Amino acid sequence: MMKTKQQQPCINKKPEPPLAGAFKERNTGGTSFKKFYERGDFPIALEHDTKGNKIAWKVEIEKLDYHHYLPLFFDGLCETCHPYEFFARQGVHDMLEHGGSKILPVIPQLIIPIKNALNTRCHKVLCTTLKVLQHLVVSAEMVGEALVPYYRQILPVFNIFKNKNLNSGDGIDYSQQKRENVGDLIQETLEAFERYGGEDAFINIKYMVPTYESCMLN
Amino acid sequence: MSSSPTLSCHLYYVFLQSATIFYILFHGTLAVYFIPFASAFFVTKQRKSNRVLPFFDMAAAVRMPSANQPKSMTRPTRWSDVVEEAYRFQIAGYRDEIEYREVQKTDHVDRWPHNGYVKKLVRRDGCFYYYNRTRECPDKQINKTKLYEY
Repeated sequence: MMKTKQQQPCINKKPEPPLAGAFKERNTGGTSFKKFYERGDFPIALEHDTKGNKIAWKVEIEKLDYHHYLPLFFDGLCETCHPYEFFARQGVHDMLEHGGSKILPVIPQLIIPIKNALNTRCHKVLCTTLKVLQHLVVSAEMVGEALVPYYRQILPVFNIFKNKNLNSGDGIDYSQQKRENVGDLIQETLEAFERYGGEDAFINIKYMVPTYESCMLN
Repeated sequence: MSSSPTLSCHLYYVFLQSATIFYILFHGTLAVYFIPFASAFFVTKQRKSNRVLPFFDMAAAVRMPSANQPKSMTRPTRWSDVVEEAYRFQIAGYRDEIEYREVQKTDHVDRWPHNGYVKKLVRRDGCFYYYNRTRECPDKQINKTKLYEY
């Protein structure tokens, strides 16, 4: 019985090109934050109570050496396990909230940890890092402008995930109100960069993320 | 019924009332002394053998007013700056600012300059708690916060 053309095996099928893996999550291995935490080098303690977890500082934040501790906490943003993830996130938040003028000189040392966190392509790590970046640019004066020279190192991943939005039709996207939608978070972060980055911010963002439209000029 | 014991009782009451007025003016706390002060007006005439002086403890009149202990506690139903303040102190393990000042023996509390919210507190074990500039008390913790009245 002769097989139809559809039933005949495809002999001339070309091999598919391998996947580039642009959206694939990548493991970073152990971070120095985890190593330092297990050694007990951080002046922090975790408090469990009925109101949730909270971080207690054994030393006043104002007396901490930001050049040493802030890059370590940023390095912990790659972590996804408890309690490392919580300590890193909350520690960064507290240090940025109360750092003041001590943050600006440390900016160059933060770029590599931020880049590593974004390169993991992990959804949870991406959301945390984007929120941290939004907090960073508003934490002190001139921080936004100090980040402009480093856009070429941290914005490529923004370009990859900028259109990662959930098409749920007429359904409700709960990740939006919980601020876990990567596409929306990237848009917010880029707008914060432009708002606090000075005059050259938009052109540098546009160079790395061509689909971004200004929120200040229009 | 002889008049001298009655006169001495009335003199005793006048003395206590003047001492009360002195402490009221000096310490400024009226409520603590209202009850024993008011009870002095309701002494009825009794037989000498059965006369019992109303409860007006001299020791109570000279005792320092207990402003450190709250008299009542309420649970809020809506968020406000007062609730936020109480929430921040209670997270750190204190009842409110009064207890914090007593325990830490300080009058200074670190606050955010733009809205006056508590910025930093010292716990009883010496660790530090830091708080955000904006509201921290979530809606589900509002009715678990305690507001004390003195």
